[in-house]
Order: sequence, then structure tokens, then C-alpha cells
Amino acid sequence: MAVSRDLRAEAKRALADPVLFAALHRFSEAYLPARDEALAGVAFEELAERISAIRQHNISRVCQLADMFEQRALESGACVYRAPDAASAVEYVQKLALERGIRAVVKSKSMISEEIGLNHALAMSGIQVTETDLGEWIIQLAGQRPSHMVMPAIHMTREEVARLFSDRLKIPVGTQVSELVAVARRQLRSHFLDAEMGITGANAAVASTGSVLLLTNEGNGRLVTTLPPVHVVLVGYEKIVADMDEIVPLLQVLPRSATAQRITSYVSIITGPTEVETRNGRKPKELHIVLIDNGRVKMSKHPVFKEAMKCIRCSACLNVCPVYRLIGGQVYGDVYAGGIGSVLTAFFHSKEYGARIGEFCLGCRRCVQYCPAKVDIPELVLALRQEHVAARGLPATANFILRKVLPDKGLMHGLLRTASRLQAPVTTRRGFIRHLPLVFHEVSRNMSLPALARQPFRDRFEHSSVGSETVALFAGCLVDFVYPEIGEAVVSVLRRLGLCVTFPEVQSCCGIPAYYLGDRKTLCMLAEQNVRALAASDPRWIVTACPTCAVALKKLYPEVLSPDAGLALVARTISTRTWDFASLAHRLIRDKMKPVVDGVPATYHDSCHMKRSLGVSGEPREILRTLGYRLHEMKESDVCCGFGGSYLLKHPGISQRIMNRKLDCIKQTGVGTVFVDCPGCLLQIRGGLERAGVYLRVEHTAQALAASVAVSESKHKECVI
Amino acid sequence: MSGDLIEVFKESARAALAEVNESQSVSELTAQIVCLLEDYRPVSAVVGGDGLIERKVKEALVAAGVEILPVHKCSAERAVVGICCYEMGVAETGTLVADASAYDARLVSSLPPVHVAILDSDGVVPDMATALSRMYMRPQPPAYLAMVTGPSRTADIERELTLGVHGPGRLVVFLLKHDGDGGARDGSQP
Repeated sequence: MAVSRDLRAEAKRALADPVLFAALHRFSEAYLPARDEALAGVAFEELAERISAIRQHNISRVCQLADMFEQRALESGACVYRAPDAASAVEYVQKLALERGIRAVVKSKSMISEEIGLNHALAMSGIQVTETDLGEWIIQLAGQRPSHMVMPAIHMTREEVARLFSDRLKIPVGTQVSELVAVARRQLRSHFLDAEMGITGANAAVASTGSVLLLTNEGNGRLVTTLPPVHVVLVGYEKIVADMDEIVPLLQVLPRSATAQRITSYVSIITGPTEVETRNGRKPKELHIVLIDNGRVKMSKHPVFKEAMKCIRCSACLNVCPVYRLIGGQVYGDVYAGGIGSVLTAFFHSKEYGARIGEFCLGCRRCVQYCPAKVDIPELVLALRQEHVAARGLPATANFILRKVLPDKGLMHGLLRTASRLQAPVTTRRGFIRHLPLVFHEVSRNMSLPALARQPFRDRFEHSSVGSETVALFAGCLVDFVYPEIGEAVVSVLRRLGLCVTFPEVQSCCGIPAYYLGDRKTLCMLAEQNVRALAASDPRWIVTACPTCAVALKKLYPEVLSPDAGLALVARTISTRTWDFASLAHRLIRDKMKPVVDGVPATYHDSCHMKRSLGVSGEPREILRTLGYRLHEMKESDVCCGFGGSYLLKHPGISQRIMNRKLDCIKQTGVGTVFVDCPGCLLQIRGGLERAGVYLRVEHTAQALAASVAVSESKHKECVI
Repeated sequence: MSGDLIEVFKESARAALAEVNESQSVSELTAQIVCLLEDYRPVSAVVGGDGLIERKVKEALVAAGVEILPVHKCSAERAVVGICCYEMGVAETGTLVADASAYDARLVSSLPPVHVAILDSDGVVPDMATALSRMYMRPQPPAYLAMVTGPSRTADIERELTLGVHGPGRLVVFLLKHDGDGGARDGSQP
């Protein structure tokens, strides 16, 4: 396990691998429709809640369940060894094999065996270990690491596998997949029949009966657990469930989430040793269960990270992750891949290494939507990052920006030029900005940078006390400094409704960019500043045209300000009064809107924060349809555009590839207009389209509504809204 | 109601790529199995278990000139077909459920390339929860519970679904029904 890996270089190589790219994309595209089909008739949310509740409860009593499991398993005739760490687990198996004179071992796929580095250790003792899961066997022959948790050899083509088989097995092999599979069957058969020990993992361990549960498709698991006279089960503490009832929901979600199957071909539940055939006739086999801690008990006691103990290792999070499908598990993870992998690595291996892997997480929250155990993976990755920053100071990203971008004029100006080019229609000369947007907040303490908009929103805003009820506008950096016209659109719509729109001047960055860099301190500071600023005028509503800012105001501020009871109370009030623009507009004017365009084809991109943090996706579409736009849904409308705040600067290569995919989805609709509700998405998509020479209109929903106000006014018609 | 369950079971099992046949009597069942094995001649089979139905199947196969091998790992590996009975079927998923604590039961269902599964239609239950609770409520719960849904499969190479990687590539289920004229259970009573 290489802590010294150069992850950036590896990511770059993965991005340049067309085979990996095609394979992972084909898989991720097929996954969701297949999953939906497998889930037909299943109340997924309810089931996920149940799994989450069961696991939460079990985490709180993990040692007690482990005791019970051990007791019952012993009663059933199994040997149980509780391994505190990886080394002791390996040592137990190694010693057992040596004592029994075992030379040949067959294994079915087990993540935990990779976690503890078992194969290597057994090989060092002169024991031949054969992986029998087809993908794992291919990887073993190739001397590689798995690229996917469920499909380890997904990065290899059939031609590569055929070449590998020919080279390693010294037999001529065709490139038909069925032929390759037949070769594997033939080759592995003697290993199964001759092995003296079978090693498996377990999908669950049942405390009330001492049973272990195994799900497989190929049938290798059945052979590994049936033929050799010794069976070793490696199982982590997180897999322990209380009783058989708790197995049921697991069987319902695990195959559906992992491989989009209603159930795997084989489900085996083993309780104690069974009979086995030996040279000297039938006799009871030896069943050894190694119950492995290796950081799990510590994790289960951690107030934040115990959440990761809920993970059932289905890999749904990876299957829907826009980063994972670009670089795969060989780069984005160690033994365990993706965002959840970074958290598990942090506890099972090294905090620092885990945090580094976690840097690939975009924070788009798509995984949360599909997790059958309701693990908030991005929050955990973030918590890991914050811990890392608290312990070690600035993360690599901030270092990168501070030490690489700033001194490198070309790079820095390149970034700014890109942004300022987007602003060409409104930027005629460059001034300076007072507070720097986004990740440059760190920078802005020391220097000023050219403004992106000729005049920031805060200088363009015309104060007026006309109006009935007060709406305070929270602009956010991008609206304030880059897209003031979006802020003006919001103001024009709300004023048209007869509301008094105010702009509390003391407001600044919402703090999320700092938070995402692991800098919670800055977030707390900005939260306090903004909450005080917004509360001063006691507005009925607070509106923002940036969903990320809305998440900060609605969700983060009450949490980060909770240590100060008084401030927390204010933050909660602010939270309940805060609206994203589309939702507020929808609420206030849905009945008053009339069409202003006649079936103009358009498409809508869901921002990550809008859809998954705020849960808003229908409202903007309804507004746009009512205004007369004919919406053509793009493929994957709710997949991240790749902006991800600082991600754009952290991993420009990945960000760009994610964006290209988004642009392709947009172009496929054939429409001329893209609507978004997030200025970050707008920056990314507009910039990407321009760079690609594709001239599509990209606008904020507020701008569509504001334009309708203008149309109605110019035509002296009855108010449109 | 149970008729509906059986239909659901058949549909689910077929969706999992199992072949499902119905047999109205044990004699029809044995004839159907003999007929199925015609395609594989010369054919050898291993039969797990020694209940009445298994005995009838063995008799019929021997009479039809099928070589019945004793059950151990090398013969099961050599056999073309493995035959055994299951105790329950889960309608929701098309899953066959058996107490496979006996070594033989697992050998015949996992080593040969073709697996013939016999299931009494009375054993069809709606879901996994029912199957599991029935199995583990028994005074002697299974040491090895086997649940089989469709043939052995893999998609590890280029995601192409391929059957029969380590287990049977063909799973043929015979649902033994006895909703006929009362003669259906001709073989199930001594």
C-alpha cells in the first residue's frame, strides 16, 4: 500500500487511458437504468432508511454484537479469532496454513483480505494463493490492482485478457468473451479441487446464530466454501448484524445497488462447519472465522466517522461518481475506492493518505442520493479534510493556489482571462475588487486582483425603500463580482412584485469555498458576519441566486454557529427565511406568470447543491415552462458540471473532462438555450461552450424571469408576473 | 393465491435466466428429465439426496441408459448434469432455497455444467423474509443454507454477461405441481 503514490500523476495517466474511459463510461451509463429496473416495486428510500437505522444501532453496540457472534460461532463448532489489527489477522491465517502444511489456497473475492495484505504474506510463506473470481484472477495474473470494487478488471479489453491468458497460461486463446470465460473455468477447476484451504470474506455476520453470509454470482464462492477441508472467513466488525431479520433488507439492496440484480446467483449462509471430502473419506471441515477490527472499533466510537461504518460495500457510490468514472479505483482509492474509500483508508491505514485520496471528491453529493445505507460520504470526506487541515495547516490545494498560481503570472492570468473573457459584454475596463471570490479568499488578504465585472453588484445596486415586505438579497461572490446582471435580474423580478429589496452591505463570501478546502475556521467567521448582516434589517425573506450560498445560509450556519446559543438562534431564523431564487419566485408568482416566448427549445442543468442539498428541481422547470420554453431534458441533467468551486483549480484535468461530458449532453439536445440556477455552473458551462466554439445561450432562471418582466413592460401589457 | 405465487416465481426465475418447466406428476417429471438429457448423450449425472423423488429420478435415468455416478468431487466434476431437490422457492426473486448442509447437495449443484433443480410447488413462498424465517425457525437450522437464482454468471470481461463461469451455465427448474386430479402425487406417497 503505497502512501508515497503521486496521485496527480496517476490521475493524469488515467485520464489519458481511452480503454479505461470507455469501459467506465459504458458501465456507468448502463448502471442506473438497470438499477432502476432491479428496484422496480421496491421502496428504496424506506429500505435505505431501515438499513441506515439498523446499522446505526449496531454501530453503537458493535463490541457487544461481536461478543455474541463469537459465542454463537464457537457453539456452532467454528474457531473464532478476534484480530485487533491487520498484522495479527495475517499472522493467524499464515500460522494456520503452515501448521496444517497447506500449500495451495483458493480465494473468493474479499476486500478485507486486500486490506490486510494477506495474499502477499501467504506467498512469502511459500503458499500458492489463487484468486478465483474471474476479474480478480485476471488482475492477479496481470500483477495489477483492481480498478473497480465489483468489476476489478473493467479496465481491460477482451483482447488484453486474451493476450494475458496466452502469455501466462501458454495456451492459444481466442478473443471471444465466452471463450475466455471457458478458459478460466478449465484452468481454475484443478485449483478448486486440489486446494487445501478456502478463504472468503463475508457480506454479513449474524450475531444471534454465528452465521456468515456470502453473495456471489460466479459460483466460485460455493466451491471455495465446499471443496477445501479448511475454510477461513475474514470479516470486519462492521459486517455484524444482530439477527437473520437484519439480513433481509441487506439482501434486498446489496445486489440491486452493486450490480443492478434483484439477487445474486448464489447466496450462502454458513453456520458452523459442514462435512468435507478428504483422501481419507468424509470428515467435518475446519471453519475459522477471523473477526477483524483494524481501526473499525475506533471508527465506531468516533462522533463523525462512525457514519462510515454503515457502508455495506455495494459500490453504488462509485457507480454514479463522475470522478470515479473518469479515473477509476486504481487512482481514486487504495483498497477501497472513491470517497468512501478515502474515509475507510484513513481509519484502516493512514489518515493522511486517506485525506489525500479524498481530494478527488467533487462534493457533488450524487453518491448520497444512491447510497442504500444513507452514508453522507462527501460530508465525511470534508470532515477528513478539515481534520487534516486542522492538524497540518493548509491543504495541498491552497498551497497550490498560493504558491503555484500566484507566483506564476501565466497561470494566474490565464485563469482570470478565461473568466474575464466571459465577462466581455459587461466589462469595459478593469478595476479592483475588495473581496476576492471563491478560492482566492486566501489570497485576498494579501493583495487585490483585477475585478472580473466592471462594476460589482454591490456598487450597481440602487437602494430603494419602496415596497411592502422586505427581501434581503444575499449576492454571493460570483453574482457580486462576476455576474452582477444575475443579481439585477433578481432585483427587477422581486421589485416588480412590489417587494422591498435590500442589499445588506456587510455581507461577504458565504464561506463554502473555504469550507470545501477544509478551512472550517474561515467558514465560522464568515457565517457570523453574514448572519449579523442579514439579521440587522429583519427581512421577511432572504433570497440568493446561488444555491451554494443558500446551502450555507440554510444548512451550515446554524450548525457551525451552534456553540454560541444566541447567534445560533439568529442563524436558525435566517435559515428558515432563506430561499433560493427559483423556489421563492415559484412560491410568490407561480399563478401570475404568463408565457412570453412561444415554445423556444431550451434545456435545464441541475446544480448539485440545488438538486441534492436543497432538493429543488421541479420549481425552476415549472417557471421556465410557464414562461413558454419547451424544455428538452438532457441526459444526466443532475450530474455535476465539473465546477465544484475550487475543484476547478485543484483538478483542472478532471474538471474539464466532466465539463466536456456535460457539454456533450447539452449539445445532444439540439437546443439553443441552457438554463441553470447556479452562477458557478453558469461560469463553467458558458466558459466551456465558448472555448469549444459552440454558441449557446446560458442563463440563470432569474434572467429568464427578468426578461419576461421587460417584455411585458415594453409591450405595455398587463403584468406578466 | 398460491397459483399467483407460482406464476410470480416462474417469471422471476426466468428473468434470472433459469429455465422453468412444470411437472404434473413425478412420472412426468422423470420423463421430462430423461428427455432433457437426450441432448447431452452420452450423458452422466450425479443426483444429490436420497428421498423418494430422487430415487424415482435415478431409476428413470438408469432405465434410460444415463450413467449415474456416485457423488464425490471428482465424479461430480466429470458429470454433465447434477440433479437435486430444493425445499423452497422465493417468488419475489425466483430463488431456489435448500438446506445444503450435506456436502453432496452442494457438489451436484455447483460442479456439473448443467443443473436440474426440482421444487415442489407447495414450497413457493412470497419472499426472502419468509424463506429465511422458516429455515431458521427449524429445530435444526441449516449449517449451510443454499440459495440459487439462475445460472452461474459473470460480467467481468468488458461487462459482457457470460453464463457458467464456475458453476452451472444452465439451470433447469422443474416445478412439481399437484393441483391436478389427485393423481399428481403419484410418486410422493409410498
